[in-house]
Amino acid sequence: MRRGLQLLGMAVVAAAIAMPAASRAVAQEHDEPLLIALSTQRIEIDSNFAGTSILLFGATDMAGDVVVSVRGPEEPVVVRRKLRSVGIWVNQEAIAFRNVPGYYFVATSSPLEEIAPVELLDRKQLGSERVLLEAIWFDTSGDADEFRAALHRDRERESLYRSEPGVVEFIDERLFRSTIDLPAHVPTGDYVVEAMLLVDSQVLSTRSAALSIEKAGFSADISTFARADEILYGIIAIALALVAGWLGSFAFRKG
Amino acid sequence: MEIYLPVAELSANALILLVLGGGVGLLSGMFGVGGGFLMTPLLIFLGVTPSVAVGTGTNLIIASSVSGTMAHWRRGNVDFLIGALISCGGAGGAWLGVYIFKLLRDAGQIDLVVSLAYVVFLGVVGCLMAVESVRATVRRQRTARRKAHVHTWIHGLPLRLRFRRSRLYVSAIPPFMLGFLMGILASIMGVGGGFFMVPAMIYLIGMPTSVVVGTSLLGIIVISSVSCFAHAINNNNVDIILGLLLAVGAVIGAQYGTRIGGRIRAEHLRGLLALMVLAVGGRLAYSLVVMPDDPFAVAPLWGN
Repeated sequence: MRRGLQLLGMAVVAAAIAMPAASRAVAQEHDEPLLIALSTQRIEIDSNFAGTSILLFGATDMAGDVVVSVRGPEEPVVVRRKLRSVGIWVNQEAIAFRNVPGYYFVATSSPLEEIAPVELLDRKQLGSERVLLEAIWFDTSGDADEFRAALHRDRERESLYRSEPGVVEFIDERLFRSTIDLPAHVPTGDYVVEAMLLVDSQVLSTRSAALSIEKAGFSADISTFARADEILYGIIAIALALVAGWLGSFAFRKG
Repeated sequence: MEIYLPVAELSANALILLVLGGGVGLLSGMFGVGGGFLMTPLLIFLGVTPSVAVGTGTNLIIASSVSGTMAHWRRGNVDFLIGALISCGGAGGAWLGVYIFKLLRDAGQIDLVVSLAYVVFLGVVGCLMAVESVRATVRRQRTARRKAHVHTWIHGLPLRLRFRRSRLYVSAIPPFMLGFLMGILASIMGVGGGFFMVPAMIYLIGMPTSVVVGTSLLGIIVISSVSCFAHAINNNNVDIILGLLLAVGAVIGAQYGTRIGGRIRAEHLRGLLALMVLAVGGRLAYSLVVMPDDPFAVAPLWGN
């Protein structure tokens, strides 16, 4: 399976490099010395989904370092802290953060701090500790960084963030690849995969690709239905329960 | 057979869920209780969020109270007029309960309130039953002193109605208010509330014991239906796959439980039920008191 994916990826890259003259001309017009391709652009999560990995292949026109980042769908998140009060643990403090990616991954061909200045890494949010967590409301007198650390801890427990960056591996001087691991609890939605070519601490080229992760199958239909048509869903839920109870009583009447 | 629960958002083994439903159904049939107070905490222990556990609990209770009501109806043990009053009050209470639930969830306090409500109710009911069971065992030889229902100020309230089946001529307000309170509890705790409603009907309203269970079950059908609907449209926390699997197990289990229950002496049965209630309450109390692994918790920001 993995081997197959690799071959597929290679084929994609080969096709990309040997693109028809017209599209290659477009690429040259933009003068991008970087090309990337994903082994798949769409992942379906069904009831057996236990995580998967996809491959990113790419090619560069010049020597340099490559950094790949993947950001999952963003949503506002609240982090609460329990404190002991009258003997029991109660949520008492909270901070809400805007636009927190549900998944974040970065991979690099050399340690990040060696290939780019910290200001650049911060600006591009490269490295999971540099993902911008902008607080939108506070309900605490404590340190916001403790809440940020707790958010990272939570995401790392689910393997949605990783404290250590992954690897971008050069197959030869021009071709590179990286494996992107997606855990079982990966959120559904639109992902952005971005690759950057860095030479002498400068970003020479950036390429991005879209990845979409969707629920599939019967369970997904129910989950969508439960949110899309709440009233009908509620009525069906009641009806099913009434029928189940009635059938049960009917089946056991004689027994 | 792994199955993905679409609203609870986790995978579980369908057979285990059937067995779990069957086990709770068995106990509820044995003790003549709804089983919601066991199922909701069990689901929480299994890793279902308290919100989905409560919402799905209301769904499950509809199924188990329908089969119970049918059995009592066939024997003529349902007072439909009192049932209707409880249902009217209960529908309003259930809707209000779901609204309170939503407010608490947005404030990040729903887990605490659900656990606390369980600890308090299970603690009180468990202790009362334990004491009662011990007393009954001690003076088993004596003839039970059955009090004919005593008139209190409650029966003197206005809007008196004649309840044929219960042979009562009392105010319509107490059943209505009882239903209303039960509705709030049902929506917040995901229980039917029979363990609370049955004593209240006997001691507060003065209904004859024979019609109490059937009538309370009728009220519970309406209360849990309204609660389930309100949860589904306000909180998106009703998982029909989870609810249905548990319900099928529970309905079957209850049939066997009723037979086993018939063979055990009543006061021993109550003693066992009291122990079970106290164990569940104790487990929940422990999780509130013990220091959490991580005092921080992350949740999506609801509302705005």
